This record gives sequence, structure tokens and C-alpha cells, in this order.
Amino acid sequence: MSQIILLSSDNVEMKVDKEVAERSILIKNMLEDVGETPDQAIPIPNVNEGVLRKVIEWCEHHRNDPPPPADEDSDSRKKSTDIEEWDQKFMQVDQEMLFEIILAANYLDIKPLLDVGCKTVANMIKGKSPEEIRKTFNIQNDFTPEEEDQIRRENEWAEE
Amino acid sequence: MSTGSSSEIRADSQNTNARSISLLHLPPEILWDVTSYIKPDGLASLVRVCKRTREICIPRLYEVIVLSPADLTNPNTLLRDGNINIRHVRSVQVIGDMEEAGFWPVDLSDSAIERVLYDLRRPLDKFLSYLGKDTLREFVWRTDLALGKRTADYLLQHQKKIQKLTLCRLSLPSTLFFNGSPEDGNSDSGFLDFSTSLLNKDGLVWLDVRDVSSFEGLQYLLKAIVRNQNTLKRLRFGFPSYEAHKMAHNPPGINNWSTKSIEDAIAACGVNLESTTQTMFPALRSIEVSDFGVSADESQEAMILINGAIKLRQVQSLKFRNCGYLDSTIWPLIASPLQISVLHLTIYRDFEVFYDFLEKQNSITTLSELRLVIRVRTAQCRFPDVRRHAQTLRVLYLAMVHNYDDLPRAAATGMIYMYPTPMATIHQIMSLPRLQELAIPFQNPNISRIKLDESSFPSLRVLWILSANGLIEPRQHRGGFFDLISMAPTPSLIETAKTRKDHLDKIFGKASYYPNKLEIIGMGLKENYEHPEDILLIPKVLPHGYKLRPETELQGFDRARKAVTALVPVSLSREEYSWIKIFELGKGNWGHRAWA
Repeated sequence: MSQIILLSSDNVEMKVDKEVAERSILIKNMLEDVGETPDQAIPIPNVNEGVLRKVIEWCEHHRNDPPPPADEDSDSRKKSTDIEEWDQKFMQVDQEMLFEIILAANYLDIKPLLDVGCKTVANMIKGKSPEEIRKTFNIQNDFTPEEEDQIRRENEWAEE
Repeated sequence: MSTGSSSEIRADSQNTNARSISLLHLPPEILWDVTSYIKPDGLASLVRVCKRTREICIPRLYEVIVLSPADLTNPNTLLRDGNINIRHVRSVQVIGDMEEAGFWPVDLSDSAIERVLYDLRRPLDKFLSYLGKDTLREFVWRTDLALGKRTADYLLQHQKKIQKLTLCRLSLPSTLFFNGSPEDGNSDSGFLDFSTSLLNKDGLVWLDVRDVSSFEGLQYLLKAIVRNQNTLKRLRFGFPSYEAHKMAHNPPGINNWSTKSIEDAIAACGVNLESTTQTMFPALRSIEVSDFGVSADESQEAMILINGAIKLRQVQSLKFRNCGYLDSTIWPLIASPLQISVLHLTIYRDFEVFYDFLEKQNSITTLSELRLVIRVRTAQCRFPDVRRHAQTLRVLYLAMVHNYDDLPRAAATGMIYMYPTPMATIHQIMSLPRLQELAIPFQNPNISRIKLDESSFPSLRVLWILSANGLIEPRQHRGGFFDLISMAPTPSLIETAKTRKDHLDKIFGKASYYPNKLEIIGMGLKENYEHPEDILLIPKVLPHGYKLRPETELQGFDRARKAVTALVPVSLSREEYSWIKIFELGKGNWGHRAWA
């Protein structure tokens, strides 16, 4: 099986099966444009070694997954937050790594990984009060009490 | 979406790295995606967190407004007064039955129903009037309320950019229900509400119409399909189920579905499919048809007609449920690999033709979900071998049911048979490394044991055990697996749970060896449900459909449907064994039928 070399933003080279790397649509398109397996390392300037290793680990595990439907035209607000068990374990990382993985998935165009990341964040938000969400993500409340009260009243229909 | 915000992010005390990122550092398009997984109550919390989250979440919170008849009975502040955020509304969905709002149509006179409908529609029309012109992209009407003329006129005149349209019916089979309402100035008795007029829309990408129950309705639908053939991505339509149909008063022409009438209806739209050289429906990716019962003789011609117009190669989701012989003939017509990921079928004949296709290399290269019900007339038919799809298959529902059309005795007693899955097939299924959800009827545990552990089912997370009173042949019935785990509870709940657990141990081995977090769902289906296997073909959350009207003989059917929708667990052992769930269709609604 042919392999390619990826170069992380901190200049670490990683050898990866081409099939695994092609879970990234960005890399897949790049390889298609080149036309043959390149000898030189492909730079991934936005992703450091630690994150790239995690992303490759995910791609390895999901190398045989069927491609996601090209046109998922479902109701945008009825998405399931179910996450496969392996993916749940994979995402058990600190918040910074979680967000880095999400950004890398977005940059490398790996939609299923991006979805898992977004679901993980959504699951961290679900069922929490505003104050609990602030605490979880270290966010400052920049509303005045009057503003917050106004927003609560405006949207209380959604909480019923 | 604007990314500007005055929100401050506190320095993370645990991380002084300059590159440290937090939630609010994610780009807006990713945060927008995150919000798509959060329900309105969660979004309502998130908008109160800080100005940045409010900015991102308000459009998501107001994007889809779902209203039930209960909401219309007791309108909340949003419905009553609106607010500035209503400008973000893109989808309005009315979902639910009048009963949920406390009205029982069975007990009401026609004039009282008219008054109730009028009262319920008024807050809806008021709410719609707050929306900006041409801002809606979707309208969903899945309720037994009749769509009023005022509502239909508003949508046609002021919301011209609707792309997704869902209507639960085009007409009703009963004369008892829904005449014109006072606001419509139309007191004539009629079968149609004003949903039909919405089919005059152009530019639809999503059309979902349930229960087309008149030839006139079919013509309206076909016209809409043909008119929107360049834009449609998802098409779903259905007819009243056979049983409902048979029991209801058939409107004229309902028994005459045929290729000829379809062709006539299409020709009436100005299209001659036979002379069409251009591919129609270039964007179509998902087709779902239910209860479309053409006869065996007409099926080949119908399929040639359909296959000529639609390039199946590009379709990703194909669902034919209870469509008589329609689907059996399609397979020999397909020459190239399909890109289907979801395939739901009821097949009635030519099983080997379909199996050949399914078992052939590269016939379908992306099959991820297969829900297959095989309706046979003799026990000679084999189960298909799905190993060809081992690398892609994640969901498998597989059941063989006796097609009791040829069984007068069974039909008379309401018994139909579901064949136990052969061990050879179970062993084949065990070789599917990625299978996450499986639904099959199991054999008598005294005959065979199945090792339910990680090595046999490495990815399995949900196991549906299917059976029904009457679906297993009487001789085997008494030892049937489902009977053992759904046995009548003993006076002691603990004892009942323990007995069930013992039976599970007996057939599957010790629970401690089961795949981690496996959920077992026992599904009992009553014998006098017309298409018990339907539940296999309908995704977990069953749709709200209209309910058949109050003719006495229909009430049981009606209630059974509701029971399925509710999926009320009857297990008494949830506390002790939360991973075992037992459901029984229509429990308590049907009289007990003694075995002949």
C-alpha cells in the first residue's frame, strides 16, 4: 500500500497510508491534483504534531468507513448527538486538544471528525444552566442584569 | 454571521500557552454547527451565557418553530406577541393531533370540529403574519388539523421561497371529517383541505406527501413532482396503508391505481416519459414510497417507466415499503453500481433476483443501512447473504414474514408467521465487523444458542429481538424467545426480572460478556396488525400521520398506531436491568386472541 509523508506545523514528518490520509478531502484533492504519490512531505501548516497524530489516529480507525452522504439534506436542528463508543473515548481529551482537533478537522476537511467534535461540544453544553456553561468553558458574563433578564423573558417560550 | 463581539475570555489559569484556544475562539461556522446539535431549551440557556453566544444562537433558536395543537390552544408569548427575533424563522412545523390539545374528534359534531379548527388555526395565522415576506424555506403540516384557506393563501402569496414542503395528506378517505370551516366561507362537504393548493409551488427541493387517497390527489401530486423535477432532491409519498384502505370507504378510483393511470396523470402534466430523452430528476437523491400497491402484471411496465425517468445511480436513499410487486422488478434493470447507503424494502416475489443483485460484487458499494422484510408464501425461500457488505453495513433489520394473502385460515384468525432467522444467517451476520444495530427474529432458545460477545458482534450497540404472538408457528410458539422474556410478570418484580435475565443468559450467555453498552430491545408485535413488519422499515421515531376517522372498526388500528408511536415500555425490570427493554405493540388495546 502506498504511503505519503505529512509535515506538521512544527516540522515533524509522519508517514501515513495514502488511503488513511485521503480521509481528508483537502489532502485527497491535493493528491489528485498532483496526479501521483509525491516523494516530498506534504506540509500541513495549521496543525501541530500532537494534533496531527490524533487526527491520523482517527483516520486510521475509520479508514474503511463508507463516505458520508454528499448531500445531507436533513433538518438542521434534528441531528442526533449519538457518538460511537470509540469516538467518545477518542474525544476524551482536554478542552484545548478538543478544539484543536475540531479546527484541524475543519482545515483538513474531514467532515465526520468535525461532526464528532461538534457533537462532543454540544454534549458538554446540554442540560446546563447559563452559569454552568460559563464555568465549563471559562466564559465571562458580559450582560448587565437587565439585559440578561430581558433575554430570558424573550426566549422563555423555548424553555417550556 | 458577524464574528464581532465584546465578550471577554478570561485567561485560562491552567494554561499560559499563547496559542491556547477556548470555545469562543472557534470560527462562527463551527459554533453554528455545534448549535445544530442542541435543542431549543439548551439554546435558550446558551443565548444567556454572553453576547457572543447570543449572537450565534439566536438565529438557530428561531430557525425552526415547531407548534403542536396544544401550543395553538394555549398560545405562548411568542405566538401571541411575536418578537424581533422572529425574523430568523425559516421553518414552521405544525405537528400533532387534536387529541393532544384535549379535543376528541370522535365525541364532537361536525360543526363543533369546525369551530375547534377555526380556534386552533387563528393563533397560527396570527403568528405567520409576524414573519417577514419570503423568509420561510420550509413548511411542515403533520397534523390532523385541516389546513385552512387563509393559511394556504398566505403561504402562496407571501412565502414564495419555500423549498421543503411536508403535507400529511392530500385528502381523507372519510366523509366524516373536515368540511370547509367558517373562515373559508365553504360549508360544502369535501375530502380535500387546502394542503393541495400548496402543491402549486415551484422550486421545491423536498416534497413529502403522505396518504394520497384519491385519484385527484395523485394528479395534484404528480403535477407537483413533474413541475419541480429539476430541483427535487428528496421525494417521499405514500398512500393509505392497505388495511386502512380496505377498511375505510374507498373513494372512487382508489382501486384503480395502475400504470395507465399514472401515465395519464403524467401526460396531463404535459410530459411524455416514453419520448423523453433528457434525464429527469437530475438532483434526486432520496426516494421513499409507501403502500403503493400496483399489481404484479403492471409492475414491470411501471418500473420501466420510473427507471427511464430517474437515474438510480445517483440515488443515495431508496425506500419502498409495502409497494406490492413494484420493487421486485427493478433490480435486473440496474446495470451499474449503486451509491445507495440506505435501502429499505418489502419484497414479495423474485427474491433470488434481488438476492443476486445484493450478493453480487460491486452492485452496491456503499450500503450502510439495510432494512429488509421478505414476505413469502412458502417456507422454501432463503434469507439473503449480506456478507458482501461487511465493510459498510452498520444497521441491519431482517425479517421473513408469511404473506398471508394465500392463507385463509391465518387471515381469518389474524395469525401471520414470522420465520426464525436460520443459524447460518446469524453466523453470517456475526461476521459483519461494523454492525451497530441489528433486528432479527430469534429462534427458540432451546434449539440454538448465540454467543453475544465482543468477538461475535464487535460493534453491536443495539439488538432488537423481534417476535409477536402468532408470528412464530404455534408449535414453536410456546418456547418462543420473546414469550420467555415478555412473560406475564410474577407478583414479585425482582423474580420477574430474574426470570427474564435467566432466559437471556440461556440464549446469549452471561451478560458480562456482552459488547459494552449493548442495549437489548424486545419488540412484540400483535398478530392482528396488518403489516407488523412495518416497524422494521420505519425509523425509530415514527411520524405523526393523520389518524383514521372514528368508524368503530378503525379505532383499534388507530390506537395500535399510537401505541407504536409511543413505544411504551412494558418491562417491569427496568430498575434491575436497564439495558433490557420490552415493548409490545398495542398492549392493552387489543383483545387477547386465543390460539386456535
